[in-house]
Amino acid sequence: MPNHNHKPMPMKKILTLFLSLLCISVSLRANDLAVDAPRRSAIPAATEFRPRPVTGVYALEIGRRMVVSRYLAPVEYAGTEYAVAGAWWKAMPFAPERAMMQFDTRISGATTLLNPRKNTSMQGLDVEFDWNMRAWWQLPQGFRVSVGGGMELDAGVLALLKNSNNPASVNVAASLGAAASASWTHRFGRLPVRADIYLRAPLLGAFYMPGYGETYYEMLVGNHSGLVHCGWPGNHRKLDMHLTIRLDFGRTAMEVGYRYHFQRTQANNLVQRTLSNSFTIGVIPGGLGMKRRSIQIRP
Amino acid sequence: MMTLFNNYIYRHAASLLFPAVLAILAVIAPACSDDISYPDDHLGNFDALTEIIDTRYCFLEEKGIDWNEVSKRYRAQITDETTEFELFMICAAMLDELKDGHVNLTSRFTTSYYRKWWTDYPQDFDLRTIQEDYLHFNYLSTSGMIYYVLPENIGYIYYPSFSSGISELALDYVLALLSDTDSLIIDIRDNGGGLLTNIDILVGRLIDHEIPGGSICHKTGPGHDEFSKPYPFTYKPAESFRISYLGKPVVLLTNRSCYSAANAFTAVMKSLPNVTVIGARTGGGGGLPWTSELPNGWSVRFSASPLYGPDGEPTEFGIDPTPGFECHSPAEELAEGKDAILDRAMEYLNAIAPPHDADEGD
Repeated sequence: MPNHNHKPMPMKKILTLFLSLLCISVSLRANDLAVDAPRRSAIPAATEFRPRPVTGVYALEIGRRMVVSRYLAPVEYAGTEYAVAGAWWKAMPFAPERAMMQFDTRISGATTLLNPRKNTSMQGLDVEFDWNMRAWWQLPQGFRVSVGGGMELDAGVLALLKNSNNPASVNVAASLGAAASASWTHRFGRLPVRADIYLRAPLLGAFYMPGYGETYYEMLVGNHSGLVHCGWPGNHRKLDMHLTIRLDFGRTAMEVGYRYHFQRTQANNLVQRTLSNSFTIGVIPGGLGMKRRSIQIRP
Repeated sequence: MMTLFNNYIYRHAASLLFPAVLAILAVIAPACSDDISYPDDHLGNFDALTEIIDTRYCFLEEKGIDWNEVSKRYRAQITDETTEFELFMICAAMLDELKDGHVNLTSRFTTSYYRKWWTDYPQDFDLRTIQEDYLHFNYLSTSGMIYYVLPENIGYIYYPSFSSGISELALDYVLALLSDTDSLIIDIRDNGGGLLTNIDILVGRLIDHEIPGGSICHKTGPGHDEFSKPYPFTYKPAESFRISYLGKPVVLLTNRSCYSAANAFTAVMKSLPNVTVIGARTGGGGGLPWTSELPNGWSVRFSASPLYGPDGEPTEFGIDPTPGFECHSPAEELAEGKDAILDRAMEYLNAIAPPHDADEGD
């Protein structure tokens, strides 16, 4: 016969059991924390977790570009240059207080570069990528300097479409180079301001340059000899200098600046030279971290 | 010691950095004179033009031109009273001394052009005569080509310019429609050239294996004898799914007005064993043109990169017809509806082609 005397568990007992389990769980968690506390204190302070946020700048640039490409024409062309640029940097994990890396990219174009008589126009489009790692030092008086090196890749084209078999001049270079910066931080009232100068220059690499009178047809039929050259400051000089003033508003920051960009490549009795002076304005989402007291490491 | 050094650097880094930047700028970015260093006046523009030709034109040696003497002679014609138009005419006359159809001087008001490479020779061609008296206004046309089947089952293609690209698909249709012909005439008379890449497309349909196409070189520096080694190139057969015209006799018709790419096409066609070139010597134009610019914005175009034929001979001075096949079409005959060059080609093909009705007799 089945036992019909079985009574359902009262609600009070269920609640008691649930609360007991909860207490045991919290107790175990507390034990865990209690064990972790001395373990954490044993870890050296240098390896304590400190956020290394990526600081990014997104900028628009406008300026004047002057170009001489002896492959296309022996006279200088000049006109307005437009560019969008981005730069991202963060502290390196192995030495966050001493080392940083930065990635820069810039796309620039000029739709109307005019010859001196302003009766012929040339078009230009360039893309640059640069990655570098730099050691940095905090100096007195709010100064900070950094020095390092990295690699860069440039690709671009100048087009003078009225030309017959030399309608475009291609510019491609891959280099190892040096980079340096100096900055000065100061607080004007409650507004932190940082002035920066950032320099990049290739030192060793390879670049493309066609023959003195070589047509693209000759390259098309297969003659590729003598097109790639070892680049060094004697034949491939470039300097990208960016002066900026950054205003940190907290949640965001903005920068205004000036970029000086110079490149001169010489090979096969040809020269290509580009010089541009640009005004830059950019935004830094998340700010520079100077306005808040935090443990973030921002180079 | 290191501490002292570090302290020194720390104290002076900022003050050292900016002079260092200025020094770098001074070294890296001097006021380079990479552009042409002639003033934008009459003599400056004239001198710029003579320098461009002197340093970049590729046939000064081959044509035996003393460019220094030529430029001095014309420079003496420029005076303070010379107008811009007169300067242009002096420059154009000087450039005519190069005797090169690829040489032009272009200003806002006109373009100079050396025409004697064809004006001093018989034309040997009249398109209206071909259309009316041989094709009976009943031809087909596509992709810049006119085509037709002539009597005695001879295919005929007239290709007037290499300037526009040839559609591979259109060429498939043309050759498919002419595939039953016993032989083919390709007429390029009055073809002034255009894109060399069109030669690959046409020649590729007439060969079943890779053939030498010639060679090309370029100037490596400003000296008159500074050239790269000639680089040989080849032509490859068209892809297997394309329609080709193989194993049958082909005649190429030329006249003096075949120039540049048409001239290069003639050179390679002449090297094919089943091709006979009939007509007149081509006009030449065996240097790929290059364009440069004067300080006043005038453009100058000139030969800069010599092309050689499959036999290694320069093509600048034209290509002769196959020996024994030089032929002309007098203007008076053309006016009467008779094209002697085309007649000669048809006569030749009829003589060498097997009777096309031989199979029908079996």
